[in-house]
Amino acid sequence: MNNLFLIIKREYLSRIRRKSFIIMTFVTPLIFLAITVIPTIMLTQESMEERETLVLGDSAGYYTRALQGNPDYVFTEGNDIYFNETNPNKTFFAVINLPEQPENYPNNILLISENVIPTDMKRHIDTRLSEAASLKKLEKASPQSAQAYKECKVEVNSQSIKQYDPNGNSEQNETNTFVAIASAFLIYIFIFSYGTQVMRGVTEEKNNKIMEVMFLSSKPFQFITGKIIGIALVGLTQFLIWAGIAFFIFQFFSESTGAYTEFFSNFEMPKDPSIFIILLFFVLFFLAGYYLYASFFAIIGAMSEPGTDSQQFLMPVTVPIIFAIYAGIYATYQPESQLAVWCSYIPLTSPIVMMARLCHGIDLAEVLLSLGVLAACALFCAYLAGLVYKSAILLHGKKLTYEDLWRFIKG
Amino acid sequence: MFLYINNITKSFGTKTALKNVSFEIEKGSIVGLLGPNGAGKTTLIRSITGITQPDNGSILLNGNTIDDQERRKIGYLPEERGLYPEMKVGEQLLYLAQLKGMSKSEAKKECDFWLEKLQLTDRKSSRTNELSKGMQQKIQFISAVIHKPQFLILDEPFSGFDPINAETIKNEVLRLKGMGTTILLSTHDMGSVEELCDKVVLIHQAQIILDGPIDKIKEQYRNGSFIVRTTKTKEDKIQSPNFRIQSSTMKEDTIEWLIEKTNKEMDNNGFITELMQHFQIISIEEHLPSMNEIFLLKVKNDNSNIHE
Repeated sequence: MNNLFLIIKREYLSRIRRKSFIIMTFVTPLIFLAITVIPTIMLTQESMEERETLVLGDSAGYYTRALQGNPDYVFTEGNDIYFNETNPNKTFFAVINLPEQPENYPNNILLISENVIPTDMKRHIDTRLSEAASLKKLEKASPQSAQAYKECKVEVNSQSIKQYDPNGNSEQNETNTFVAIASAFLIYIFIFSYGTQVMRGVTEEKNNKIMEVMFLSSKPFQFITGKIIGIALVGLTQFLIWAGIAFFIFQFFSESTGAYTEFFSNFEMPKDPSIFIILLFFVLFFLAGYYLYASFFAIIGAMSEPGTDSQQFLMPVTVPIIFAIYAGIYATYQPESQLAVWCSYIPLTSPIVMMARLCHGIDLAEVLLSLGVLAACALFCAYLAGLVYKSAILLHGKKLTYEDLWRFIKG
Repeated sequence: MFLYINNITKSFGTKTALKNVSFEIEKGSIVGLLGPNGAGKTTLIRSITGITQPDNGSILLNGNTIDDQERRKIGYLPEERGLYPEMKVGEQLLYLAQLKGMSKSEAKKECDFWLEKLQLTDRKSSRTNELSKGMQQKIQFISAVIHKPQFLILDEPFSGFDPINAETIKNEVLRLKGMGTTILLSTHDMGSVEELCDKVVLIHQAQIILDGPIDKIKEQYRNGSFIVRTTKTKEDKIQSPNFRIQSSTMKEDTIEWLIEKTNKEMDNNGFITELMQHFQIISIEEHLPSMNEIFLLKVKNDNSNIHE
């Protein structure tokens, strides 16, 4: 156990001290920034011109007039008849549906849109409608005193809902889908980025005769596991730094453009299952899935020579993971389909597909079974990787074939 | 016996790497493991270190089969050197020593001791790949001995060293022997074998063809040759039924002859009398074959026996 800790520590420290780690950790967020923030800002600027909102139920135009004043948003009073007859092809960014006497029913004001409603737009609408509703109420009150003003104060909190939402929970479903797909891609990116680091590390060490000495002090399984965990910690460190950088960037941009807050303001956490359960299982599937695939990468690394083409060995690992991504996306829409269910138990696909199904709420026993199968398979593969790793040293300088691999596993 | 190798056989597919190999090593001795390239030396070393398992036979260290615990008592310097190139020298040695079960403080103490001994203290914070090849060799040597192994396997330990550093390492090997470390020295450098080893084991084509103490082997292979130093002679052709001149080397005023006594019945006094008839002798001494000559003779004989 002590040796495993020493190996993890060496793998971790030797990697985070490299210049490449420092450069990549700080350059990658800039690249992401360039490919995500800039288009978003451009999109935000473009869409400003189109943000015309139709106000229904305000035949007197009182509330519509109150809403004007922000150059970014235009409000047009009208009704279904006006809308259909005057300009049937005209589209609106959103529709505000006011109840009768909105000042008395401020919580029944609906803000309907196919689009994501920007936070500052919603804030503008709520503030202006609150002021207008309060004034309206105050007009009817007598005598007009400070006490009456207090009593007449109306707080509007318009309900933002998506159009064409038969069940009224489309946001919930979309959030689930988003979480599922994001988890799947995160697992995929992590497995590939850091799994290939395991592969390269093993290849380098295999050709470095130090491993021949190392086997006098520790078991190959310990070396493989230590390397996999050490590199995973490097990856998690990098992700944490990125999360920190992202947090500050979002803070900065939300202050200046509102581009991200408008996205996150509409992001509602799934309620069933709870976000904590999802997060817990995400971490567990993430680690077990990475451990499994990293073991495969370690086997490939042990079979390769530096500078030689290891693509032929990469194929059997790449194909299942790409298939898992597709199956995962499918499972977000059809979580109970045969394909989704089977793929959520097969260890090669379960880290991604089970996450997709989990976000839609399935029996906990199913999740635990899938996780158990995955963990057992990952441990077995790491043991196997250790065997191949040790045996591959004997073949230093000779290209390893599938026949050799089979011989090692049998032997 | 400290190391007991009993009848081990190892094959890779159709190729036999070791065939019925048996020998023993006494505690505190240095044994030379000799053999031409591809003879099976590396497979034998790997069988001892546990990287490969013999198909048959057994290996006992201190009377025990070599498990994880026993394996930690072995120090190993492989022929093809390897260190973590980006690690600092001090960190690397600490890491390797701790993996062998040393406490951090003990490992630090030993690390400082060895770095000072091999004049590398100022390189403790350097990255390994910043060192010269010779310095890396020294670090590799330290990594093999830092945990005070009871049994040390050295595979070509002097290759790549200049004569001064080679001498330093030889002295350290002898010092370790003096402290009770048992050493298996695999090398092609016959000079160092004669200097350091108590016994040799010669492997050829997967089998042991020679095994024993160096002085006894030399005695066994003495062939009645003498090194005779004489003044210059005017005789053109020296011929005798009792001896044969194998070679001659001209020095400034003398000639050094290598002469084989062909008449085995003749005693040494008679042989010297015979020589005196042809030469003005300055000195004479018996020539014992070097380990290099014995190696060549044995391997060539073995090859011709196989071909016959």
